Amino acid sequence: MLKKNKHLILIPFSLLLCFFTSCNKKISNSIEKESINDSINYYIKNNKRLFRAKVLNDIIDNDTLRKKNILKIAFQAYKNSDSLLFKEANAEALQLSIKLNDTSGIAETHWNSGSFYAKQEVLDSAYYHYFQAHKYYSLIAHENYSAKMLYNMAFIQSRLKDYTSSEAKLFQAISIYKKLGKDISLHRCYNALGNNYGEIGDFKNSIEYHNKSITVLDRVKNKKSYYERSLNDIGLAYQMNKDYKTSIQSFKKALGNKAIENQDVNLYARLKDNLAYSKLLKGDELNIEKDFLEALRIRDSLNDISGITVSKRHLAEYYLINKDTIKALDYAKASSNLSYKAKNNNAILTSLLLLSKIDIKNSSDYLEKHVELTDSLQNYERKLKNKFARISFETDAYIEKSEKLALQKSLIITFGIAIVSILSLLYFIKIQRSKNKELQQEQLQQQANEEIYKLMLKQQSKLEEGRLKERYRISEELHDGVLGKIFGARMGLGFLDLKGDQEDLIKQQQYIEDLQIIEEEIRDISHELKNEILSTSKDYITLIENLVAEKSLIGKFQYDIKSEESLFWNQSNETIKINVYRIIQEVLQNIIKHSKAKQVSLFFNFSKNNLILIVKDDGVGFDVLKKNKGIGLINLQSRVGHLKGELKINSDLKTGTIIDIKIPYNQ
Amino acid sequence: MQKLNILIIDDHPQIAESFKLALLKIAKNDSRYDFIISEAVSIDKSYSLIKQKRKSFFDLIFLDIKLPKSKDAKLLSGEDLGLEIRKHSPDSKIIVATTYNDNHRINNIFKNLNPEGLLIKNDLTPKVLIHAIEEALEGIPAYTKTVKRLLRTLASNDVSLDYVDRQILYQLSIGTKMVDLPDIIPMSIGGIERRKRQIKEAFDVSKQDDKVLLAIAKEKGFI
Repeated sequence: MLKKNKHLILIPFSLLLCFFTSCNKKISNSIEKESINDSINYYIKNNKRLFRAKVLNDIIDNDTLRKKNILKIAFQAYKNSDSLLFKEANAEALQLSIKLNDTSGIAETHWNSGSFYAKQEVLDSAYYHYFQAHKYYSLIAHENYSAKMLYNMAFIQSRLKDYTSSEAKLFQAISIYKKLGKDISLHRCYNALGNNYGEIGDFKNSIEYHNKSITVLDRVKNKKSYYERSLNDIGLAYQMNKDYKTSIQSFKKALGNKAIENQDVNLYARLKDNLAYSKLLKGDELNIEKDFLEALRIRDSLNDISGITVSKRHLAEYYLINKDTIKALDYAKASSNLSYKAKNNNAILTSLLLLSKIDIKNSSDYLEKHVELTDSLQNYERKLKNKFARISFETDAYIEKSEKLALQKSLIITFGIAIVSILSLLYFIKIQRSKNKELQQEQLQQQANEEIYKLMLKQQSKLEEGRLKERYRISEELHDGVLGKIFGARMGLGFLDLKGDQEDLIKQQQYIEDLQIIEEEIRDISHELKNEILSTSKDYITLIENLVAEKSLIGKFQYDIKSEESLFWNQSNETIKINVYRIIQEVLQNIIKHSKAKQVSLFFNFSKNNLILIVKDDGVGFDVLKKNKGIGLINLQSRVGHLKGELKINSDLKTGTIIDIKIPYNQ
Repeated sequence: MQKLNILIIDDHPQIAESFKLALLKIAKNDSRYDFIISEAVSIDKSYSLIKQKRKSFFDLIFLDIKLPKSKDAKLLSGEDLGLEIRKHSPDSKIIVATTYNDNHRINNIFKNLNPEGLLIKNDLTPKVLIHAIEEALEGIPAYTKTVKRLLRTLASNDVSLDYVDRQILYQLSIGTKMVDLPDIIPMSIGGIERRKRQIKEAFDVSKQDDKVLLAIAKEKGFI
């Protein structure tokens, strides 16, 4: 019962578990995946429910796709100025790109961040991210984008009055754009350069680069209002240079394009305002109040704050010149307030100067404020400039560091290799040494073995000698002693002149004859004993026979040994004998190990100072030509070689193996 | 009636007794002979006896081949003693009685001593012995059947081996090692090998081993 209950509880529990695990699982089903991806793209395209898109995107298990989507989301969030979502999405995009090792993705996230901070007026962060983006785009040689980043950086630097650095970056960008033939981008760069030169009062260069920016536009089909903008910039440059006539001409030229009022109403208002202001400065006040007011009205309708600020300041100046101090003060204050609200420092500074001129009573206050702000601005700018330098420097330092690291790495690798090779060399030497030792030991062992065999042989031959001596002694004893005595007795018996029965006499004669026969037998035995001496060679062969008999028991084979009589056996070629013994031992060992032979035959033949040993078996045979010889064969060869002999091996898989060894002796 | 001085040299008393009995029997049956018998059991005794007496004092000497060597070790066997007898008593007839029946020994005895009688003891019976002594006394070579057989074999043999050849064969037959041969035969090992090869050729057994050679040498009466 209890068990059953347990199971009943377990079932819903495991179901629940299944449910959870399946929920947690990333969706890998392709159809589901597609539908999710579609809805994400739908949200992004229509700029709706981006958070929902981001959550859905988390489900996708394909990193590449997820990264692509999150980048889109981040960009959309940036456009919507949704800081929270942007930061989250962009951070995730950066993480994914790093994970995927996608340099382009990393660069893109930095670009996004750069644009985001630039919009937020956090210029140092913006600069930093543009810088990083530029670095990564350069890394993957994406020239168009890296030039774009240069332009962005230059723009920020010019905003902070770091014109030299800005100029350098623009020239870099220009050289890239020229190569790529990107005319609009080129136009922008020239324009920026012109503005930069204008700011530092290099009038000639300013005009030159503005003109260049216009020339570049000739090649562009869809010019939009770029041309008129450039004319506006040129006009401003002349205005600043107090060449009001040319300035007015430039503005008028721009306004000559009637389409501009519809195409870029913002620019239209600016042109109007600027034209009127140039006229005011020139002293030509005809209709300019109306123009100022029209520009202001347009800008009001567009809610173009900076435009409104400028318009009101211009109006204030106009009224000041026309001695309408009250109106002038009103406008100037309004302009000042707006510029404070917009945190437009340049505008604040100009409005403060203007106010000091208008409001004579509080003039010193305004001037004081002006000086204060200028100082703090200068400090701020200096700080940021330093920061940029540091960013660049940090990169240099980073490069230096990485170079150092690379050097270190190569050093480590070199030393590592050296150490490893030394270690392996040492190891090799050690192995070699132990091998040598082993060999020496083996040699000693072999020597000891040979000693033992020598002793064995000596023992054997001594034994044999003793045996022979004994036989000889017995033979002599029989022959000389016993035989003589029997002979004497027989003769004595023969000469006895016995008298008795005829029958007894005949019997006696017979016994005497028997004795003669016994004599003969004894002599034969004596001779036999001596004749055995002929085969003294038996001692060594006996040794061999013992060996073969012993091995045949292990290998379960029959054997026969045939040996020719030879002086070899009697000679004291101990080394040859020992080695022949060892060779036979080795061969038999091989036969036992590999051949499965049933019959083994050994033949000792002698020809012209050569001992020929043939060992034949009826085993399975082996491939003689096989390169990889066994240790047994190698031993055999070395032994035969040691005796300056020849070794021939004939092996057939069907008939077995014949080993033919020729060893010279008698040298 | 002849008075004949007889010397019996044998270290076995029974054998000496047998010779004596045989002589007595001859003397008994043949009145022509009268024997004065002396006996000696060692080489030294025999040698001094022979030197004591006048030259060729003994008419007949029975000589055993297998005798213990002399005290000064100059005379090693009956054979050596026989040579001395020939020197000091050239007219004495010698009857060699030996148990050796191998061809080599018999050959050597013939070569060295050329005895008037050569008796292989095993061949002897009282009858044969008496007959042999009678023959020897009458100047007829007295041989027992083994000796006769050998002489016939040798006579019909077309191979002739010299002393050294036979020496080599003999030494091999008693199992002397080839390496030790130069100590016994005053020749180099190479020379001995060459000789052996020639012997083998003579016996037409060039390809065969020593065993075959020795067997055939024995058959042909050389050893």
